[in-house]
Formats: sequence, structure tokens, C-alpha cells
Amino acid sequence: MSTFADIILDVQSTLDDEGGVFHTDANVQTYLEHGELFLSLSRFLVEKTVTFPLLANVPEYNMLDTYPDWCWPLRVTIANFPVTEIKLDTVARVRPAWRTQRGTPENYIRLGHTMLAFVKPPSANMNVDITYLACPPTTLSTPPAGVSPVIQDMWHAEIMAYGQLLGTAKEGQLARTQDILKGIAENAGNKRDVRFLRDATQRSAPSRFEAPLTKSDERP
Amino acid sequence: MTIPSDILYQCHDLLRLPVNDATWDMKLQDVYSDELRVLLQTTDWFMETEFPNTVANQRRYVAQDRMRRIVSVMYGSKHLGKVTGTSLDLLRRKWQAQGTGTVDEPGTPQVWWHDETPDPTVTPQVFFIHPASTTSVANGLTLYEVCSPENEDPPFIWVRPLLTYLTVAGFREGSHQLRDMNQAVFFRALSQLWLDVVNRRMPR
Repeated sequence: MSTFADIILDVQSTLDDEGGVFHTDANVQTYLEHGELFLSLSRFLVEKTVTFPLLANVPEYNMLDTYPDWCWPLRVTIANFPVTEIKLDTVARVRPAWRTQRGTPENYIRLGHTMLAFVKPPSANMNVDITYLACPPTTLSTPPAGVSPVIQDMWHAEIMAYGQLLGTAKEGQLARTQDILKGIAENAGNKRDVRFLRDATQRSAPSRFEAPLTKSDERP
Repeated sequence: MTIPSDILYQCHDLLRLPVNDATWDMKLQDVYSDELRVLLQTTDWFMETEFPNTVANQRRYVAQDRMRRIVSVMYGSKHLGKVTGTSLDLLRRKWQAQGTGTVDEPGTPQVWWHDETPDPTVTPQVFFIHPASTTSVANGLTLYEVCSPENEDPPFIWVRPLLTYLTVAGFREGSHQLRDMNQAVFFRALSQLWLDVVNRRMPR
């Protein structure tokens, strides 16, 4: 395990600035926070599960009002039953009067990255459990009390590379940044383990980040 | 319009600009405002709801200034169909002559549109419903809309680094003595990487 202070020293050392004269601790810390956030978005590093109160007859909620570290929802349940995602255009086409049909929500609609709408709108006050992708605590202006960011070893190199990338760019050594940026882009594009995704068996075509099926992958 | 202090500080650092240089800070502020506006107009990330009142016999409504694109319009909690003025001509030839007799009576709104309309006063915030509502109802319409934020502070924490890089790139692309296209290209590439990751990882 490394703390940010450890990685700051490593980055400064890589940039030949051990004393932190040109690349101060505060600046490098900002680079690392960017790197951690980037890693969190690409690898879903920080997930949070919260109990969110729904109000009777209110279908839409601005999640940023309650959770400033909100990125997007990953899983939603009510009383341990899943509430699945549905698209707005589907609901508008199939159930255009959905806002009047109140009950226990069965689906949710993502409206941009700010809002969630629940279909059906809740008929009474109730709680919903939401697991969402969150920003790392280091990027919050007021991190939760007692949170001391510790970076797991497995992410150490990638976050350090990101700090090195911004430090090198600041120095104007743009030829060096190309290799670092390429490495970061390749790591960010690693294909995900899709075996347990709901629609894994229904995919019509592999995305450009997944290797296409070969002859040996096909069932006999 | 003010660039957030933390983003300004990071731009100073990455650009190696002196702190409290009013000229460059003003330039950074302009670039930041442009980049924020472009980013939130080209994505559907920032959405809000709005609840305008309906007025009897009125078909022309105006959404709030910050609205950039209407995603859906509901009347009485029911989604209205989206059409264009041209398709409305085909659907109901006399719609434009509303109020001049019996040609297009108000009723329960069924469709909405904001384009291809022969109205010289139309701005992006203007939209129409058809038929016009027969009654005035407080909060009778519900709009789902893509908006600009209320102030220059970006609404999402995760978008702040992206805005920093876009601002640095935009600054380096400017016509002044600190123009540096190599660095601009690098920060555009870094911004694009962030956009790629967000677009790929976010649920669709």
C-alpha cells in the first residue's frame, strides 16, 4: 500500500525534481488526483451503496443534490428486488402515461448524468438502495471525515504514470509524453470481463475494444 | 462569469503562467466559458426538469434561458409526440390558422415541435404544442431538457480535470505570443481520451 505522499515522491524522482522545486507537492498531488479519477472512471474503482428516500408521487430526482460525488448508477434495488434500467424513449413509446401509474418502481430512467426518474412513480414514501460509481474521496473538496487515501499497489503504477504525464507535459517535453499517453490509453482500453453482464449472450457484434470471436471460440 | 479558482490554479500550473496576471486570467476565463458551453451542448450529461404553466388557447411556450435542447414534453403527465412544422402540415393542414374560427380548436395537446415553423420570433427556447390546451393549468407541462449549469461551476466533479485540459488546449490555440500548437494538440488528445473513457464506460 502506498499513500499519496509516497507516490508524490516517486513522481518527483521520475521527473528529476526530488526536492519538489519545479513540481511542488501540491501540484503533483493534483495530477495524482486527476489520475485516480481517470482510473476510477475507466476501472470503476470506487463504488458506493446508499439508501435513497423516494417521495410519494415524485418520479424525478436530481442525484447531484444529494451525492456530489455521483457519476452514474450501477445497480438499483427496492426491498432486495432489482429495479432495472429502461430508456426514456422506450417508456414514452410504450407507456406514455407512465407518470400517472403509481406504485412500486420497477424501472429507472437515467436522464443525463444528473437525474434518475422512477417508473412507476412511488405511490408512497419508500427507500431505494442505489449502488453508484463515485468519485474518489481525494477529489472532493471536503472528503468524508477519517478518510485517508491509500492507493492499492495494483494501481500505483498507473496513477504514477498519470502524474508523470502531466509533469512532463508541463515541462514541454511533448515527445516523451506521447509514449506515456499511449501506455495510459492502452491500459484504459483494456477489455472488461463481460462474462457476468446481463446481455453478454445477446450481443450481436463485439465492440472495437473486444477481440472478435475466432473459430476456436465457437461452440462445436 | 468566473472560472472556478481550482481550475484557474491548475491552468496556471500546466501553462506555467504567473499567478494574478489579469490579462491572461481574462483570456483563460473566456476560453473556459467557451469550452464549458461547448462540452455541455454537445453532450446530454446535464439534464433538468422544468414545469411551465399551460395557458388556455396558447400554443407557444418559452423554456428557461439555460435550456439547450428539449428531450421530452409531457402534458398532464403524458408524453407528447415530437413532430416538425412540416409533418404537422401533413397531419393537420389548418393547424396554423388556429383561433380564426372552427379550423383548429383547442383540445388536449398531442404533439410538440420547435422547428420548421414559419414564426420569425422563434428562438431556441421557444416550442409549440398542438392542439393548444383548453384550460390553464399550473405546472401543466413537464419538460425534460438538456441545460447549461446555473453558473460557471461545472456540475460534476469528474468533469473538472477534463475542463482544465480543454481550457489549457484552447488557450494554447489562441492567437497570442503564448500560442503553442504542440501542447494544444497534446491536451486535446488527453481530453479526447477522457471523453472516450467516459463514453465507453457510462451505461448506454
